[in-house]
Amino acid sequence: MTYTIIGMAITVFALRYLPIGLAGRYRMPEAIERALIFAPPVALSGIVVTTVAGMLEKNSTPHHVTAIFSSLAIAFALARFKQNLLLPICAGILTYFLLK
Amino acid sequence: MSHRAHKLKTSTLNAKLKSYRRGMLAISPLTIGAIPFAIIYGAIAADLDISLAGTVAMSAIVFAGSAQFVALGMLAVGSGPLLIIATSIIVNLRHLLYSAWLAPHLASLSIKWRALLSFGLTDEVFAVMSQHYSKEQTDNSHWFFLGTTSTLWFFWTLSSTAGHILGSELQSLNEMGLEIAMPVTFGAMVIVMIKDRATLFATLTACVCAYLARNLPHQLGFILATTLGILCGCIVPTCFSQRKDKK
Repeated sequence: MTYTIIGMAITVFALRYLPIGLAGRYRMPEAIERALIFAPPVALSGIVVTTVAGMLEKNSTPHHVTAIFSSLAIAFALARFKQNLLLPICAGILTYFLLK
Repeated sequence: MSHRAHKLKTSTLNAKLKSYRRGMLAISPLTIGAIPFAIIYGAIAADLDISLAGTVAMSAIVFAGSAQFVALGMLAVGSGPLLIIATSIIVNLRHLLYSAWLAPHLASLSIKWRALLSFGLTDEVFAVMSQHYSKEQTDNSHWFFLGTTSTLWFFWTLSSTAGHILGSELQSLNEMGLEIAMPVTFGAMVIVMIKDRATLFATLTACVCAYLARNLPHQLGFILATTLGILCGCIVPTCFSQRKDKK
């Protein structure tokens, strides 16, 4: 168990540290730098889809489906029009708990 | 020390603390969503007869939720350390992408700071920091970063411990549906980030691919979705500019 934890800690840290640690010493190719602009929305939307799919697989009653999609719709609409985050997050979570 | 120098030092310290507190606040909705997962992790580890020290050490030192869950699953079927470590690399490949995105923003920091901040680079922290760096980058942004990582780390480790000690008594938290905090928060962040056609296409591609490939093992579907999404984002502006040229 000890070796497993130490090994995991080292490898996970190495993955997280490598590009940050090398920053400044090596310049990334311009094409990769341009491509990385899309990393945040792409990675986060991938997590949203897999999390929602997981929640629906666990409980797919009409009530639950309505609660999930209504909360997401409200959060997304508010985020779009308000361009801030606190209100959409609170409203989205509240909607889910009210409809659930 | 002169009065003026003292005043300057105090105001610098206050600015750092303010950034740190802002980081703590920014990560708080995502921390609420992460707590049930940490509790479940602790409870499963207790079920598998993993010691409290081992459970807490994994949360505190590895600090990677999905890799920890995968490790528990593999320990349950008797997999060896090497296989578990190799799998955790695949599961956490996405962190390489996060790190590469953040690298230019952290290039001016010392090695110690970079090591400290990269230790805490999780999905939640990346979500908050990508939002932060897209809007602003101040001299104290690394304190903001530290505020996010330390808060999440503290609650993740504490909740894992609670899950191990209290086990099934806290598992009812899982039924409360607190995991909704993550898609709502990440989704709202993505909506704010979509400012042009290329980002929209990249995001939609990633969503469709993530859904279709969601059953692939070790989060390979996620890696596939991000890769295709990024490729689509790079190709779309070229296609549109070629069409404009033709017109």
